Amino acid sequence: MTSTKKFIGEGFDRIDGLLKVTGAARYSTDYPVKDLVHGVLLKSEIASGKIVDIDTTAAEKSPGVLAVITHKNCPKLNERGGVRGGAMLQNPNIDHHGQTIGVVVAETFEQARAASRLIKVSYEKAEAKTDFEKYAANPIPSRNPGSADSVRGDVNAAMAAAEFKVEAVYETPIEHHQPMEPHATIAVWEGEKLTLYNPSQIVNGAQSAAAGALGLKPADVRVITPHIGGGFGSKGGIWSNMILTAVAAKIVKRPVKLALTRQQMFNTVGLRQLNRQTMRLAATKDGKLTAVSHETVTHTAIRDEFIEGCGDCSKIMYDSPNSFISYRHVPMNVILPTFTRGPGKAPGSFALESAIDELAHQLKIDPVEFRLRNEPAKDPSNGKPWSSRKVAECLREGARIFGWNRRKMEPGQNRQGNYLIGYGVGCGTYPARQRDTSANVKLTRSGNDVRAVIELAASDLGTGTHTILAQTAGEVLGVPFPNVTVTIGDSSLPPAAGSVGSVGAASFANAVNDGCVKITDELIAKSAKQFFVRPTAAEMMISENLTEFETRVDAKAPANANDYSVHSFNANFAEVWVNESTGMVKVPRFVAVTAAGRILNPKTSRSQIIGGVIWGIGMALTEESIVEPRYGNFITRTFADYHIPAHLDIGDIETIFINEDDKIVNKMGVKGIGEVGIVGVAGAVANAVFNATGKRVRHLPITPDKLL
Amino acid sequence: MAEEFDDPFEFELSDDEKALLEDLPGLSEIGESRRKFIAQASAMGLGAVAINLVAQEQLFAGLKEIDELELVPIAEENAVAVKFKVNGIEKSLTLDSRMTLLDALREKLGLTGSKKGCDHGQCGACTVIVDGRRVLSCLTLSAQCEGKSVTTIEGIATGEKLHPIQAAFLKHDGFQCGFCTPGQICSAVALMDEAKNGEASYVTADIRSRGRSMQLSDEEIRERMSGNLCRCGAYPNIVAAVKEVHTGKPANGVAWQFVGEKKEEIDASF
Amino acid sequence: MRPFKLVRAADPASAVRTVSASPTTDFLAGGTNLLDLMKEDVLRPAQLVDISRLKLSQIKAANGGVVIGAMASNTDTANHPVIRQSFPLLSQAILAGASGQIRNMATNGGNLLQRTRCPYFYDTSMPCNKRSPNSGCGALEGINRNHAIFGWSEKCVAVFPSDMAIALSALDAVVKVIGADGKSRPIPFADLHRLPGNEPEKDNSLKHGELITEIEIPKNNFADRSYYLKIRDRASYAFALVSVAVAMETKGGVINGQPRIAMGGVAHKPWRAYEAEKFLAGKVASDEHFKLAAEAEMKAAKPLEHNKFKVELGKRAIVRALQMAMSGGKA
Repeated sequence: MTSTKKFIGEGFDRIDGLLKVTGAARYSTDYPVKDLVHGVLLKSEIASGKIVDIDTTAAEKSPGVLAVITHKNCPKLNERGGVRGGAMLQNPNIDHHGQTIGVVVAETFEQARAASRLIKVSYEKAEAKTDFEKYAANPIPSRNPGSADSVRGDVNAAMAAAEFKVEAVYETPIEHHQPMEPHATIAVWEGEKLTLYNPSQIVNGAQSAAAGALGLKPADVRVITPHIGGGFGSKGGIWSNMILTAVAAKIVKRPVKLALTRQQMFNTVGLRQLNRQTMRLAATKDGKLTAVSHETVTHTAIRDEFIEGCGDCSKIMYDSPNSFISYRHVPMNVILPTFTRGPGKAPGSFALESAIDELAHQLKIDPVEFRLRNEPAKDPSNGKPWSSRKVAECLREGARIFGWNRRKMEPGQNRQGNYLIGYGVGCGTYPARQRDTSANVKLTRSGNDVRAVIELAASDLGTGTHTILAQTAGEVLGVPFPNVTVTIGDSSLPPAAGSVGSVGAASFANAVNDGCVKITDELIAKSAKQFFVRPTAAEMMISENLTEFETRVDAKAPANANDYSVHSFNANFAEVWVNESTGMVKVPRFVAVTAAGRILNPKTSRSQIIGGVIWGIGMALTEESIVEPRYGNFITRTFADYHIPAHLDIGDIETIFINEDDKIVNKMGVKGIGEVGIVGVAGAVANAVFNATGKRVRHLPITPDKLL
Repeated sequence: MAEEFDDPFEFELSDDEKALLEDLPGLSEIGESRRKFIAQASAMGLGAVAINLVAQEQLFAGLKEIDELELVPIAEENAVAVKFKVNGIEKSLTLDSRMTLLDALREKLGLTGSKKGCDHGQCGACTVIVDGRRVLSCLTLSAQCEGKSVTTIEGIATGEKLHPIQAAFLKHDGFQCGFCTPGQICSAVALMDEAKNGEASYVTADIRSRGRSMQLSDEEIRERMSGNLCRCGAYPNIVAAVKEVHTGKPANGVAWQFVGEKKEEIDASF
Repeated sequence: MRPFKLVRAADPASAVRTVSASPTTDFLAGGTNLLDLMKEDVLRPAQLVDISRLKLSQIKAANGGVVIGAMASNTDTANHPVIRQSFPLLSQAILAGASGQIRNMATNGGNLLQRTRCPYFYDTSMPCNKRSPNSGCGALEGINRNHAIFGWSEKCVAVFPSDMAIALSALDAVVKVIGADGKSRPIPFADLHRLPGNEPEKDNSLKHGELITEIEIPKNNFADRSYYLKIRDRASYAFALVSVAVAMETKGGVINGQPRIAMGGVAHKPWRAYEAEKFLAGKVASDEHFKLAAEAEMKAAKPLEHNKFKVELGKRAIVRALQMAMSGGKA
């Protein structure tokens, strides 16, 4: 049986859904492995200095304990083998509170945890840089050319000449990814071959990090991760916990399971750094921007640098002849920051979209109209043409569907009982890219029943990768949707890009598309027949009487993509209700309009956009992590202190996609939506809070105390 | 700026890996669970694709089907003997007194559907139903379950038929990564009874009037589900799923709009 | 968790005898806070006595009031018809706390004895006089946004986290406990919890091994005019920044006698707003009076570096809770 049905763009249910609603989907720690023992991490209780002595005697004698691994007995590892954040037990140095300083392995989890409490560590403390306030006045430039000052025209002159201008500081706090599945590994050795059940957004990246750190051939490391319990950037890189689990398994000669505790998730796997952003905007009386300046001061780790690109949106969102983007940072005794959903753009857009709102208010121009007046015809940062840019459509359609015309220009004018109601808008953007990815396409036939197996080392962290690839393959091959098996999350499959930076869908789907086109071409070429109408691969299998046929494709990004500026865009509309007595804010209604090229599956895409909006609402209203300036640990160290949004925090979220046919971005026209969904959201919420109350909160999150 | 992760492309399949891939058993060898899931999938009107995923996982993990782990005898500290029912089946275990119900389910009974999200009662991923009430298995000692009846996500479906809440989660896409899902579903299943019993919540308009059966508003569902955190942000979809089962009427759940000028579709096959 | 021996109590008296006899033995009821703290290594009992099956879970009307078993679950208590009808403030307060799952597990006795959520208490790498006497108070000069504005000492600025207890404080409940001698003694609610003073390790006035058996709420006529308001950083499943329980009786728009106002999130114990109560006694129930009463109460507040907002928030919360009580809970 063959099919010429359209699957791409249809809202299919997730094909892994049945596994997930029955508890059968296996995450890293769910694999039943024989002779398994349990590891726990030991953490530093100081922020800076070194370990003078570490007494493990009592722990080693504790019931069930198999090994205690510290810097004193840890085998030599390659610290520059691709693992982020160091902490590989190679020396006694301490760079941050909560740094991993040991592993305890025991027969049971309880035995390992109890034994870890018996270890006595003596430290020599050094002065710790843990108080951002103390160092923020004297930050240093980046070592990375990508974070160098970006200058166009003369912002200072434009500011001095302008009648209408905004100069203000916006701040977003440290945030944590906190996927529901903590980072966890089961490590199994068979001779010199290592299998790691480990949640990894970049499957081959985890393989290469393990091989690099442990001095193994990549072919001897297999990473298995078909389902990932969320990642949001924290499972993009590999942190020392995975490597140390492998080390522990080698030492005790048994498979080891090691999961981070939720508390350890705060100080082991990166974070979104605090960003203090000074915005300067200037405009003419008729609402034309003349200056956009975005200066970020942030912090990074003592040894390694990571700076998220808060100024990225400011470079390209609005047309301005004068622009200045800069980054300065303070190395601190806090864990290395890393990519976090909408890296740079999410906190950066809060600053930009708030400042735009402030300037629009000053100009007495509607904020939607103000944005429309500053739409750039080409990328202002490099003069390249857009592959496609539908910000104006996002704004216009969003305003229509949201009912933006009911918004009062003056704040504090919309009241219902004890609530002040406000509307706010905020835009966002994220680059779109396709990365090199390979895939196997395998066809089998029995009678007229043709089946396809698609194999690649892609990942699915809840994004719907399994489903969109089955849709793509089924449609292109002419194979019925249920006859497609998608096998991903295994590093032994053809190498693939990661589910990071919104490259996953474009890279994976284009590779599968290319592979399916290629196998069809090969089947046609193999045949002696001539075709006026191109047959499907499934039809060829039947007509050529083949039982098995397969191919492998190595898909590349389109060669001309660099000639264009290629981005997803959105516009977000928020309605907030502020309780005038208590300062508590709710967001009963939100409209997110996204222009992100071709939507492969609107059902899963909608969910991902909603997820981004909820992340943005968390950023706006609830999420904040605070470093104890004297000790360097997080005061917010559990889900009871670090508030990710709960069910009751979230109201109705409407999801609109703009039809966008972008043939430049890649063959499939896919831009990616995972990152852009959060960008612009916090700004929309904060702008709505201003519209409701007249209070401009420039320091997130907007907790009740800030609205009194 | 170091904008993105470096993607490693230097990998080539080794001969060993190729051999391993070739040695994998075919889909026909999947056995009972495949048949079970086919039946469920057909009952749900789903395709066979989900079934293939079950197959794939087992293939690639190199695993046999395991209902219960072989228990490795370990000298338990402060061992306690405990008997309780799990998904209708009587279990007798000898456990370390410290072992939580969550760890017993996952590590001793091979029931890994219940998840350890925080281990401190702050996320709800470990939610199970004990004697008809939803509780957190991470804050329950196994020994406290003596004589009780525990239902986990693995026991929510009846035989091969999904519970309506499970079906509604599928329909409304009530999850992304799926890690909080077992807890959300157990919570939602128990919630149906709480509403039938007329139990109140903090957002119940009039706490003093006590009916037998309550019709829950969206806000009521949200408040009652707030003990189950979801970081992917599936909340609106979960609320729609719960509402549909609670009211028995199709909920305005998954809906999206495409707007703007529509050009000719890209032909993906060339 | 450190290893511990687990035994099941046959009856209240033997449970009390076992725990009283050993400073390293504790009661285990719902376990929602105890296991949390044991996993954090804050509590390290060598033995636990499981009292969750003791027959102390009855809830019954008595003399116009109600007697609530200490082992009744929070859920059963909040939903008991007598409590919902006659003491809705208690139902509301219980339902404002934690989550459905936790309320199903948590017992009333355990709820009243839960420990502070102060991060310095929870994180064993920082000093805390409550956890480790004489190690110092980390929060006093540290991050103290969530801490006390009333009744704190140099030794401790923690707040008591229970919502249920705030309502019971306003309802002038009496707690019955039995001790090692087998005798029962009543403790007026105001005397159950204590201010930290020089012994912050002591949350309450119970002796080690004493067991709460029941909670009695005396008859009142507050059911028509009561409200529990909880203000927090997240809409649900979060501890209070400030909460206010109000219970009063009005006749013709005038407050009949002294209203009852208790606050949570502001002190080491449920904080009775006696100044506000005194001001309002016999006065017209007006927004203006509510505001003056709130100001009278908050005058004595001594905020710390990061919780100055709680003074203004406390005022607003008192006013709002009084308004809500007057409007029958309608916004």
